[in-house]
Amino acid sequence: MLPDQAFIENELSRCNKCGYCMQSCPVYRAERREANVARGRNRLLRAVLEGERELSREMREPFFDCLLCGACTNDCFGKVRTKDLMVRAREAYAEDFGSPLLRRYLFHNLLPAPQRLTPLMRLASLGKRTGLARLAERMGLLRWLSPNLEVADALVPTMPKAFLRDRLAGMGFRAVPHAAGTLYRWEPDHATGLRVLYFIGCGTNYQLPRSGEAALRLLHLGGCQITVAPNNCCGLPPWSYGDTEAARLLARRNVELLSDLDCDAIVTECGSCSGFLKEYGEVLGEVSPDGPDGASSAAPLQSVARGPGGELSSRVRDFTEVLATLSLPRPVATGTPLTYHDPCHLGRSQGVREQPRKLLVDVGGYELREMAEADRCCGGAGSYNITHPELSRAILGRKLDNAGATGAQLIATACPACILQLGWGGRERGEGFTVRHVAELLAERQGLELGP
Amino acid sequence: MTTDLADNLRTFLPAGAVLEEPLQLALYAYDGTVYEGQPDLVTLPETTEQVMAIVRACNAAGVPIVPRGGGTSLSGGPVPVQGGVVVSFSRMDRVLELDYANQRAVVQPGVINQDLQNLVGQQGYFYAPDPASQSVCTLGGNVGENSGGPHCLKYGVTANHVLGVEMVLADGQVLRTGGKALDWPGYDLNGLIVGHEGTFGLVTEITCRLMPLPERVVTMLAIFGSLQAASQTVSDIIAAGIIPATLEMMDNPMIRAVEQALQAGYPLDAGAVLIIELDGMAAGLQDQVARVRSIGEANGVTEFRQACDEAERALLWKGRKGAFGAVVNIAPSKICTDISVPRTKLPETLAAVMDIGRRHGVPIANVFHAGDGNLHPLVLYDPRDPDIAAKVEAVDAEITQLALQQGGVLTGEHGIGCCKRKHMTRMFGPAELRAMRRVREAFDAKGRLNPGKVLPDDLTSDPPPWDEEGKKPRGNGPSAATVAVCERLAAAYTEGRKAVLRGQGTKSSPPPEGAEVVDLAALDRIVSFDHENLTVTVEAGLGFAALDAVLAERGQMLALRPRFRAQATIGGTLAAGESGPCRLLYGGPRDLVTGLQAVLADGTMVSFGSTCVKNVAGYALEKLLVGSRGTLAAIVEVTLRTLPRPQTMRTLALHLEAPSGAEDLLAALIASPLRPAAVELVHGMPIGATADAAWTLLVGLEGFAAEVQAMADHLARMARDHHLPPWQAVDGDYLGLWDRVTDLAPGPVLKASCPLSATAKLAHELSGLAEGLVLRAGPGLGLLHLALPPATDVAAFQHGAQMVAEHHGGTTSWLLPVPERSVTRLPDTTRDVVLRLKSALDPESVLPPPRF
Repeated sequence: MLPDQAFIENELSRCNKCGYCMQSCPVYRAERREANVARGRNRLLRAVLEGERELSREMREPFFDCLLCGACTNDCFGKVRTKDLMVRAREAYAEDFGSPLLRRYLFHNLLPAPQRLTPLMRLASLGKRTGLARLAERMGLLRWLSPNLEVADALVPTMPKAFLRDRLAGMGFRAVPHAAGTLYRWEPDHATGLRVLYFIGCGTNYQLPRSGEAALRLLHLGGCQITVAPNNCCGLPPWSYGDTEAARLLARRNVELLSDLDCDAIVTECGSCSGFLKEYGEVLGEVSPDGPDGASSAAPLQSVARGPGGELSSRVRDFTEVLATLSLPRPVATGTPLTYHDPCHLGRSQGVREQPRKLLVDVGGYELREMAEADRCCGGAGSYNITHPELSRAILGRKLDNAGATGAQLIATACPACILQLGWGGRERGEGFTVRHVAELLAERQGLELGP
Repeated sequence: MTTDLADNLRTFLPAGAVLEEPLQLALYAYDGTVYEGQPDLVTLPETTEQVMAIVRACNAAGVPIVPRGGGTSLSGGPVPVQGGVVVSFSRMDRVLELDYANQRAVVQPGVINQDLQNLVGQQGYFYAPDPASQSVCTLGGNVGENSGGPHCLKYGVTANHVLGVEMVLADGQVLRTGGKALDWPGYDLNGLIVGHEGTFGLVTEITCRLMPLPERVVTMLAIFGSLQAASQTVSDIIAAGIIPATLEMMDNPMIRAVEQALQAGYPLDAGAVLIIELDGMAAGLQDQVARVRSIGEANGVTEFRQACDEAERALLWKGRKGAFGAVVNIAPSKICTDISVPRTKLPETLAAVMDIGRRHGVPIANVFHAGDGNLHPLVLYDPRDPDIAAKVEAVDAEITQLALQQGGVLTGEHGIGCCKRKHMTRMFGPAELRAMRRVREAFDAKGRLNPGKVLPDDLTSDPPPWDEEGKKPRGNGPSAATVAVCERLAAAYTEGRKAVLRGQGTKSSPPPEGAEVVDLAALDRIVSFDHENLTVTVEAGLGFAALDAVLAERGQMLALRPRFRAQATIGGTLAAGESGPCRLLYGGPRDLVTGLQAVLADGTMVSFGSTCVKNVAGYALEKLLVGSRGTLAAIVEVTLRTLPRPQTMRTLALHLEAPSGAEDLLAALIASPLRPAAVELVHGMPIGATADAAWTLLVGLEGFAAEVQAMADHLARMARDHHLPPWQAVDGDYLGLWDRVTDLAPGPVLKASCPLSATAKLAHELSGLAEGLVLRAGPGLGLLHLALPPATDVAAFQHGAQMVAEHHGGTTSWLLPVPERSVTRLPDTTRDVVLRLKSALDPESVLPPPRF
């Protein structure tokens, strides 16, 4: 039994099997098989929908090897939202065939409970850094998703000593008691009047706290008042695995926590979190997934404020969107060329393409060299690199070829999953790519000091 | 059975290249149409050797083979309607060679059209065929369907740009046709194979023509109150001698859909939006833009926009590019139909199309290539409507029938596939279909390649369409002279005698003893001249001069200037496949022929092609017959594309000691965006003032005055840059001069064909082979013509010439008449195919054996 049948039916009715989805599907370009592209995936889903075929274990590959990058929808005349269809297909699949216990535990018991997750991550970090506690090391965040230890190990070369939340006090945040838990607030040195509620994502907190720190320091430098709340995971990881129940639980928790807090914008430097937060209205079923008027869904769904989820979504901004509105000093040009990779959830989902580029040039003083297919998925796609290592590597290869062709050695991007993936690829190929978050690059150029 | 075959296939295919799970197979049941058919197995080969092995394995197992490119076909081409093994070429996607000096790309069939464009675009070149699905369709698929695209009005379809293929035949052998050189001895197999819809073999390698990108592109958008006004504008633009790179039109339902979805700024009551794109030399373009504008104004254009930069250009295209997406607002699904009618029939046809939609209660919107009469009515529907399938099918069938009634064809660029197979008997009679089936059997005797496509099982199921309902009778039916040809060939056939065909005798060999000489010179009528559609239909025995006079009354011409034009007949020229130097700009005989009628060796009349410039219905037997040298059938009537006469014609000459002096200049000229009508290096013939020079480089320029002047200026700069003396204008009779150059000298003419960049060198080397040789060499075509002095040892000369030509990657053959002692040898596989085609169409060998 498929969930959201009306939605699925409506989307599939617009698929003519014309095949235009082949042009920029990274998986298809690597595999060149019909099972690896939207047209084929959707044909199977239609077979299930219409009872022509039973949902079967063989459908695992076509339904689960989609990156959910959304490139096909861009190229589709009917704007068929294959990534959202695949989430439903995965939900049905998990319903029929179950999902690994560890993963379920992560999604249902750890992600909604930071007080349990954080100590585990500390143990993992310790293990990773000392190389002593093998067991502890296995607690790494990505490990929960797949048994493929080797790849996960290579992907995460190191883990930080201090998570982002540990660093807040040192940066100048002050604890503010609140009914929902302790808030942290950092008052600006010179107020611009912009009050920002900062959303700390899991990848940022546990894996790449420097990016988060950089973003916070830049917003502060730009005159924002910043508040950090004890938010949960945004819910994208379970959503991507088709665990919509866990995703909705997390979304509802976040909505309850954040909706009450007064602010001008909810901001994060993780492109995936900001992208998913902007879809809360739909995730929570407030906005009909068939689109605002129930007709075609060619219009973007984001920020349609109807219920509290949509209301929250309408206040979400990616960090680069906000920073681009602030006035920061313009440094002298570095002369260092860099190239920018668009994270799928930031570029395609949110349409935020100009701001990070402009910031890198104006606030960073970098020479920007556009790579071919800059918005093509890098193959990171959350934990895709662990669940589909071979495919992911092939997709990454094309991305690095494109990056390399620009002659730049520095790749900037704005999502932790992309940073891990691109960094891993660069190391593996032995090419001297440095991969950095936009925020880190800008903070450095603005003379802001960051923790290790 | 299938399991055994799969096991066998796995022994030589890479891991994961054999799919046999039902679920995986289901994903190769479809293409871009609503048709489906389950394959038994799917293979994903990576090399030609693997394809050969697949074919052999399938033969041994006796199962059908269905080739598949990107699976974007809109005719059901790759749908395995009878099961079998799908050979998906998606992993044979390597570009094997980019040879810019010779303007050729050699690719595997799975290369995506757009990927090739992107690669060569960086170097200033393009591959002209640009089907709408170019971002996902493969070049192998394009070869299968003879794909067109918006640019084909000016530059031609896939058949005009594929110069060679490697094809695995039904028996697992490999056939190589053509190559980097333009013409190879034998029948025009490229012309026949392009559009074969996967039924002749599995194409495993393709040699494509690359062209230098035009210097400038100007995009215009014109809005009209009525479709008629827009269509008239299109006709007037073309009649004025302006051939736009694209002419795309949208009708009112489409305009409204686009406006609703995209706000492109179109008035909702507009009757038509026309996008016109001109390309070419920057210097001549502004002039043409002004003409286009005034033609639009004369036809009451309500708004005229012109793009000045890339951003504005994108804005003008926005509506057109978004059209397919915009119709989703009308209904979620669509089928994209495809018919082609004479350009002048567009308004009438569109009105009737809309009528059909209304009658069935199915919305239709139109966006189409207006320049060549190719329409794609989009039939819009909701697949959730239970009665819709029958309705859509009925609409499609009626639209197809409509095309035939309007003098059009079943399909302009999508192909017949399985979708329109049932309609074939409406367009073709049993004789044509039988001939097509025999040709198919010549390639695939057992019918294992893509069965259930193109030809219907029953060739006579429909009532013969020759009667009132639409079908051809062109003019007043066959003339008495044509009937006489039928009778004489039929007599020879039944009496077991030989026959030879003869026009004015410029290409005739002495007939064998006792042979029936079928004289075609009496077939000299001009059957019809549709000056607005720029086509003329003539009988084969007509001379060029008589046709010139009639065309000139409308300011038009036939851009075919072969040897002995003053005496030769048009049919003879086409049968010989001869052209002159102006092939460089206008194309050769098979590019100019849109349709023909012929009498087969048993006396049956057949008719292939049409008066539509775009037509992919059935096999291109018209291309096979052109250049078949009177060995397959007697061409009795042809339809040719005409062109407005150029405003200015000018010849420039440069005298040289040796061709090597001009090699760099020629390389630069060929790589430039200049489009001269002819470029020839001439040796052994006095031309112009300094008649004693050993070599003369002649350039013929034709077009608008400004364009010609711009090209002349450009050439002058090039000569200076290469430290050559200035060009001399050759005054006097332009066509007369070029006819003289083309005629060369009486006697046998050996033709050499080679990669472009070798032309000058080859010319020089060949010129040393005999005293008193008269030759012309076209470096833009890679074709050389050598008139042998009297008393030359023909065989010895050809031996030598062939060796030299082969050394440069070329070959030789004779213009007609082929000397008795010709030593032209076809490669074994090619010869086999040529002989099989010969016995397919002339099983009793009534007509002479093919010689080259």
